[in-house]
Amino acid sequence: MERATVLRAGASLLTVAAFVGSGSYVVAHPKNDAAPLQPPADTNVAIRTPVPSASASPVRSARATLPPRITLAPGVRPTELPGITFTHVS
Amino acid sequence: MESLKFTALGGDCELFGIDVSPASLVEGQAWVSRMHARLTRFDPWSELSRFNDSAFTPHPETGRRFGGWVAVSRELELLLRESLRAFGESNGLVHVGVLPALRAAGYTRDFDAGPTPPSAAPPTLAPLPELLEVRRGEARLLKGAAIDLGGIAKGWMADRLAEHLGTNVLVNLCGDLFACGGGESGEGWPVGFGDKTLLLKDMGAATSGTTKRAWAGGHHLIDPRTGLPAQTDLSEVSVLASTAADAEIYAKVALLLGSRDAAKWLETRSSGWSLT
Repeated sequence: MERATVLRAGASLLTVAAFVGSGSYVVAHPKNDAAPLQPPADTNVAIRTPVPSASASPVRSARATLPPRITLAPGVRPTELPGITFTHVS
Repeated sequence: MESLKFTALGGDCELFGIDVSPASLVEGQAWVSRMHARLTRFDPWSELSRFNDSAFTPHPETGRRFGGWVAVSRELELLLRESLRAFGESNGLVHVGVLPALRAAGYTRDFDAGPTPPSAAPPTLAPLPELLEVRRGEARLLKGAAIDLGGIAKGWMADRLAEHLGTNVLVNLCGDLFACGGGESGEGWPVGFGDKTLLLKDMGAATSGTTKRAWAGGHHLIDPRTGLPAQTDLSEVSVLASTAADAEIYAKVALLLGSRDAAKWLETRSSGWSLT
């Protein structure tokens, strides 16, 4: 048998083996939705549900504890709408 | 409504537009990024850094006190002129020449890298018109002077970009913003201001404060009267004005003046303010 034929046969065998092997691995490892988290989650931590906020996105920076004192000229209108953005310290 | 969020100028930026193409907003982002690269003091090869370096290379024609005249881009020239205007408008309290004092206070490198130990004494600070001269396409600095445009550039850029993008847009560059047109409702763009939301139409807003970019024993807001981080009883001031650039100037002045004098100074200039 010629050397080239042997090489072709070997390459084909390797390809088939990789295909069959990967398929077997996938079949042997189905997704398990009930599988535990790794590492195990701390059971003492309460699950926090996100609370909808009327504030703008992105999140406002932490502010000083005292509320701001706001002065507005008559022509400036406050609204109950959520802001789409906000002015902040950079 | 189209919108685009991105990070530049050391913070979060947002662009909003009605009847504006997404491509226009992307172009706007690219312009902001180019300006950031040009104006950052943390890149030794930026146009601003090279201009600051020129203060150490006196030219025979300009006298020994000044560095040589340096060719500057149109944008830098306009910003330097804006800096001189801000100095006059604020009676010297908004002073872009505070960079040596800022370095002396420990803010020598990108904030995320942390402060360096402060120097023993703050450098004395001459009035800006004595440090900086601008003429068409060129500018020069007094020997040893250096400038930081961080406090001026964002507001000025927000105004320019809004003007460029269209007639119904909102540009927010790290908190300095300009709302052009009436937004989706036509009554104004809803913008968070202090603990309220306001409808802003053809109006700028900015906030100055000592709560961010602060470290043990210091913060980034230098009082030009002392050359030291400002001592003020206000931690944050937000201001409305006819432009973002003016809002930035007024907010900084009010913060430096403190709660006793801030409202009096603002009442003839601003249509709204929030003091914390």
